[in-house]
Amino acid sequence: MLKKLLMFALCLCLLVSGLSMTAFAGENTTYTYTVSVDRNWIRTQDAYMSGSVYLNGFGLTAPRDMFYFGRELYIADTGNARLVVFNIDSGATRILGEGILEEPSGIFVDTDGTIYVADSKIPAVVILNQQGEEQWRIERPTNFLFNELSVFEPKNVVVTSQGNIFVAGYGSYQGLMQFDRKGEFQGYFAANKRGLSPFEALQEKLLGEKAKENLLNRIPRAIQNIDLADRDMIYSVTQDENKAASKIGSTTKIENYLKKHNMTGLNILSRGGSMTEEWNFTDVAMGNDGNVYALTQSGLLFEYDYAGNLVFSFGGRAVSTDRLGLFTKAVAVDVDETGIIYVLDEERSVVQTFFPTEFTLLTHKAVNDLESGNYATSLETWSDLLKLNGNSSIAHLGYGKTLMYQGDYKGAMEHFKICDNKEYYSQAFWEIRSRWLNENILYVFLVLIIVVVAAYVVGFLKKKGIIKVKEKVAKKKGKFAQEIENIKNMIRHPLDSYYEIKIKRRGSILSATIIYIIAFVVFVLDLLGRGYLYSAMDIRTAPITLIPFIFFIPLGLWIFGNNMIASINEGEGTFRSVYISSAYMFAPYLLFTPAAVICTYVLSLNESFIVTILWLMGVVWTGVLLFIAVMEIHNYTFGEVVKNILLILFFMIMAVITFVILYLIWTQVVAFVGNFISEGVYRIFGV
Amino acid sequence: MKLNKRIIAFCVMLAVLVASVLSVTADKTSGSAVGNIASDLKGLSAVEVRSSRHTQYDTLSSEVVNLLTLEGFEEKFKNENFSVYFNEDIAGIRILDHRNGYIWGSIKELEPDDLSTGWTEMAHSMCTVEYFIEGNVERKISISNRKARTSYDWSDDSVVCDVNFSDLGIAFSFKITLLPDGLRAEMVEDSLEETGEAKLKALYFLPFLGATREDERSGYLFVPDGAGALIRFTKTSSYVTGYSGKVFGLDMGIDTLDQANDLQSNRTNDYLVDTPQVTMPVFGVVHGAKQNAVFGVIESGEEHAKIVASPAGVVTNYFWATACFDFRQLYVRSTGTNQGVYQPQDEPDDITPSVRYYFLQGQNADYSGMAVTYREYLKENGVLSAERKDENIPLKLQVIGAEEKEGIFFNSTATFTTADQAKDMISALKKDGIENLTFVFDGWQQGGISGSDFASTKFESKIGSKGDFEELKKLVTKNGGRFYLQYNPVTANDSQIKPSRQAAMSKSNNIAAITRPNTEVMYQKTYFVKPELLFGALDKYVKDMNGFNPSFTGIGTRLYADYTRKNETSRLEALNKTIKYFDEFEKDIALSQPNQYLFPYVDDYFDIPTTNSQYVYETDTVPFLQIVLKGSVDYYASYANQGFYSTNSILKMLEYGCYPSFLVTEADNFSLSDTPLEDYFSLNFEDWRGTIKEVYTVLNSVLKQTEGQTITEHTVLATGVSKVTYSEGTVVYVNYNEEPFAFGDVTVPAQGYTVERR
Repeated sequence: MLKKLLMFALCLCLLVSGLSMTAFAGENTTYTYTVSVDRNWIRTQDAYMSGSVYLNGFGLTAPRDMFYFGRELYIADTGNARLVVFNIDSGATRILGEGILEEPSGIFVDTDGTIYVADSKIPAVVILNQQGEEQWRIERPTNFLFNELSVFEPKNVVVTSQGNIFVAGYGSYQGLMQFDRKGEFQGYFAANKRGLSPFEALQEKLLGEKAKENLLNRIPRAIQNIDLADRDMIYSVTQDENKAASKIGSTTKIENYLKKHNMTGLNILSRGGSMTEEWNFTDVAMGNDGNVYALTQSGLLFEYDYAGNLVFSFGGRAVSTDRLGLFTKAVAVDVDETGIIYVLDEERSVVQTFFPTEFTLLTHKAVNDLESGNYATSLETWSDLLKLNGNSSIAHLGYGKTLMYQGDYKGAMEHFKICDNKEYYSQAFWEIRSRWLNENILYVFLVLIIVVVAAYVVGFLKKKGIIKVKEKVAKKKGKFAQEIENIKNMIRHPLDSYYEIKIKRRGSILSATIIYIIAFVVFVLDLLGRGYLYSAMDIRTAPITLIPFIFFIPLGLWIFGNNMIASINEGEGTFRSVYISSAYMFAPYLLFTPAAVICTYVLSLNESFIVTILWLMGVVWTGVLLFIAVMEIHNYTFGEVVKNILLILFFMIMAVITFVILYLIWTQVVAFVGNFISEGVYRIFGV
Repeated sequence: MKLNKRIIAFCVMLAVLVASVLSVTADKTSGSAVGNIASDLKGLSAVEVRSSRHTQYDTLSSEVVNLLTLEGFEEKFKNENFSVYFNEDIAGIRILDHRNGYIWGSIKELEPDDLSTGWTEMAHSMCTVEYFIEGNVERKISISNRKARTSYDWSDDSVVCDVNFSDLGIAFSFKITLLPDGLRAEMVEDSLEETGEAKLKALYFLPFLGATREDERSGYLFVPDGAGALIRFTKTSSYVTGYSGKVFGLDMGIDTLDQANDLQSNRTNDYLVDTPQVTMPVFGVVHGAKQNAVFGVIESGEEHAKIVASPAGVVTNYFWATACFDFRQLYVRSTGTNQGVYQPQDEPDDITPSVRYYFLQGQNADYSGMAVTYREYLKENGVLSAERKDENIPLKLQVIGAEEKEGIFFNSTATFTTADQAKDMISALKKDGIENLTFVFDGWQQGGISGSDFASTKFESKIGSKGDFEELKKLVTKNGGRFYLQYNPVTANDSQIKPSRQAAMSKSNNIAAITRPNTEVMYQKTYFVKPELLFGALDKYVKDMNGFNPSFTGIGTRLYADYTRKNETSRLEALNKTIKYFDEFEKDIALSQPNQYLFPYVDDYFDIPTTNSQYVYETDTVPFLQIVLKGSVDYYASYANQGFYSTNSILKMLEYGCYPSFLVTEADNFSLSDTPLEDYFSLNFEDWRGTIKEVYTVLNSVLKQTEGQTITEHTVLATGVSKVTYSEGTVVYVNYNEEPFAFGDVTVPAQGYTVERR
């Protein structure tokens, strides 16, 4: 019976519906995606169609790399220890390097036809001529720059027009190995940085130097693969194998996986901006239009423009089918001069091709025109592209940039806002603001002068006692309004205010509640009401229903915990005084945050420090008041306050964890009972 | 005399000239389909035409010789065209075609060294079965196996064979009959008896008929994958699986809809375009194009059949194609949460397999001849009749009215096109010279496409009242067009039905649904409703929507059984109910990719496939479906503005005789976000108006000349150049290449076409 029991895990993330509801889908086998204006993946017109399949049944064994040169594909037939050169036009093949190579895994062909092969088993970079005769080889450097303990297992190689040879190696976490034209080791180039996981960060803090040395896995990742970019720069991709194992334990991403290195090894692709990319890129290839293609192991191809913006993503994985355009284990990608993309599949040992559609040719043209300053034609092409996909981020960005360079800042701002590009929006905004200021500088000063003079006059009149109305009004104020006004005192004299709350029983539950509500309104305003340039969330996509919980749950836990911990630790405060004092601590927050929010409407990103300072002042001051509140209300010493606050935080965390555990147990119990019954039914009745 | 001579010479020359002019009475019109977008293709169309999305040029047209002999075979019966020979040792037959002397059979050698015994027996035998033992273990046995007890009852034109696998307790009878144009193999009705542990899984007739070892002869397999696909004979390559297409599509009631697939990336797993389903129960093998072909048509049991085609490199080195009849399938018997046992159905499905084989020779012996044969077969059976003949070709314009939009607190109904705006579109198109519209209005129901109640017949007031739609309909029909309302009686989302009560249940006791592996979409799950709900929705439409013709979603495409306890509906019952329903249906209907059983009822066929599934072993796409339908049913290509607008696409519509279609809204593209329409990236009517005119004008100039005609032949003259011959002698040449093509006195412009009328 047990033998018949075939367990199957319905792990949803691994199952893909073999059917969908859309019956119409052009003629491609996979959908082409691009990034939408709201940063989601959306489908777009087919970008590349699959073309021929080469070398099926030829007998390649686990090939690992491929290089396009002069209508020929140079393939590292790794499992057979040789190179296979395939002529695309004639279909003829020739074989090189037999008997010389052991496990070739990377190929580069120089403009004069010299073939550089990285072989990790020899280990060496072997240089062959077109006839396959060995010219020379680069072996493990003996030079003092190369550490004795370092690994030398060449994986791939590129050669710049200057003759510099860059070698990516297995386990070469120091970076790319750089050799001069004579094969002399020059040093390492472009090492990756390494982020720390939360656990590792803790280790870093707690362990001594000695212990840390034993932590082997603390080394940065080795570069996975490289390609030569334009102007002798180098593209590299790095994988995040931690991510493959689990998505939870992964380290924080501190660098892009796809990089373009300049002469000093610095990444110049999409600095600052976060790239839309994958952690399992396995190869990279330069395109003809300043674009670049990155390939994931699962067979996805990502095309980026010169600035690292995602243009298209297409292709996919084949698990049990033989459809065109899908891969079982994609390992290498290269592009020829007509824009045809070749992708090598290690497991299937075939080469598949993709060629651009009219839509892609148009996109490339638009990108080129924009880059080379043909704004008139570029405007037309981008507007055509917007017609073909109205929600494509890259199309709005391109159209907006063209408008901006033509001086239409208003129009540009509109498109930058649609595609959510704050950097360019800020630039256009700055232009408009400076233009407005230039035109209206006179009035601005005039208004400023009037305001200053008016304030001075009013002050003068008050002093002279000519205006008395105000004080009368103040006297008429009810107790409640006064309590609200206490906020002002809180900022000026926090200690006194808390004393009054505690001893003189000033303030009331009602006024405190109202302050909490106002604070919540300000919190929401800060989250959702900021000017576009400073908004962290889009009101359309924000988790609206979550926001009250984010605010009120910690607050409630804080008040409750504060009261509880204090009653254990001999605090003097009552629940009432805790409740009221906690409300008043929001005073600076209520004052500064709205000011910061107002600033977000008139400042460009260049002046962002003003907003940050205003906001921080509110938050930090509130934090200080919180500390003072605990101290005053419960009459604690400094040390007691610290202890109490830590205890309260501990209580808050435990409360959340307890809730989660109870919730999980409940679902487990339900599932267990369900299993038990259906198993019983099956065993007893056999149905 | 000298003068006379000159005069005579002159007269002769004149006569020759006149004669030559008169002899070419053909009226030729040429044109180019190049749009104004991206004319510089840099030679990429040469790559496109070599892909399996196009029909390839037959370079190997060498004469195919008989590789098979009749040695060891004994003649059993014959008619004027064929003789059937039999060899009892291998339980196999060979057929001699008297018309050209060609011998059909399976494989040459009695004991080939590259096949195992099991496969050899299957290759030779007339019949092979698969069965389950010990629960879900699958085995295969052929009637030539020692353990099979067989007895033959020969008559003048047929043989009945009783088979008894006594070890297994499976017994049945089948009959092979000789017909004037071929053979019929069928199971004798109600002859299946199961007495043992083993359970019959599947049955094949003549599985290796026409099988070819690698490229020992030129030719190909034909499968009805999409428009039609060829698998040319080549050397052995490595493939994972062969072709297997369930006739009339997967059954949501029992087939596994999910497949393991994970991109292991941040991008969603929602990347695969569906493979087109098998809508016609046919298959074929060609030995030398225009020389010999065998064409199979499943006549009974097709709803439980698969079309199977295997290229050299999948288990064997042979190319073979056949029909496989499934009597039982595996399903998951649940034994707890996320646990279960695979086990076969207890009772076999009630089917009586029957396959008819046509042996074609000469001009008919290729995919085009098979399509013509099938069309004639359908006409004889009353499935197809002559189409409506229009002066100008129709253009399909599908308009979206309302759809649900995701809101901050609750969803709202967003308006994309009102009835009045649709009227403006119609007048705009009229200005552009397009009057013959096939106009489909989607999202007219209250709440929009996804937001409406299931099968609602209430009009959304934001779009227009019933009166507005009647006016709209009048406007369309006045111009000579047809007006349809889009109606979905088959599928629903969470907000439309209560899935646990109203959706069909699978044999594995799951709710029949398709899940999109994309969490960003509004409705991830699409449920298939119970049959009674489906037919109830149809009744409701007939009752409430008097005067409006429907365009149905899912009808004729989705065929599924419902295994709701105590209220089961089998796949066959579902099929028969559908046919019976439409037998009495009085309105015109439009369907998207309907299966063959609804061909008699469909007035407009939408989203016709123009390619195959693009499996690596598929070498060509052929317009088989188009040849069958042309002249009988108006069919339309998929939406041009959703990735089918390029020069290549327009040429393909010309070649395949497809009418153009567009999906549009009045609202701009940006408003599509946060609605289920997000998948459609470009719908704005104004943006596309120019292209609509351009595409229609080119297609109309050619296809209006072939209105009402059937396609008699489709051939490829050179790579990227096709010739389509119509029944009244009109010939359409289509050239995909970037250089002009000269053929006799015809020159086809680069990326253009030439029409020749006689």
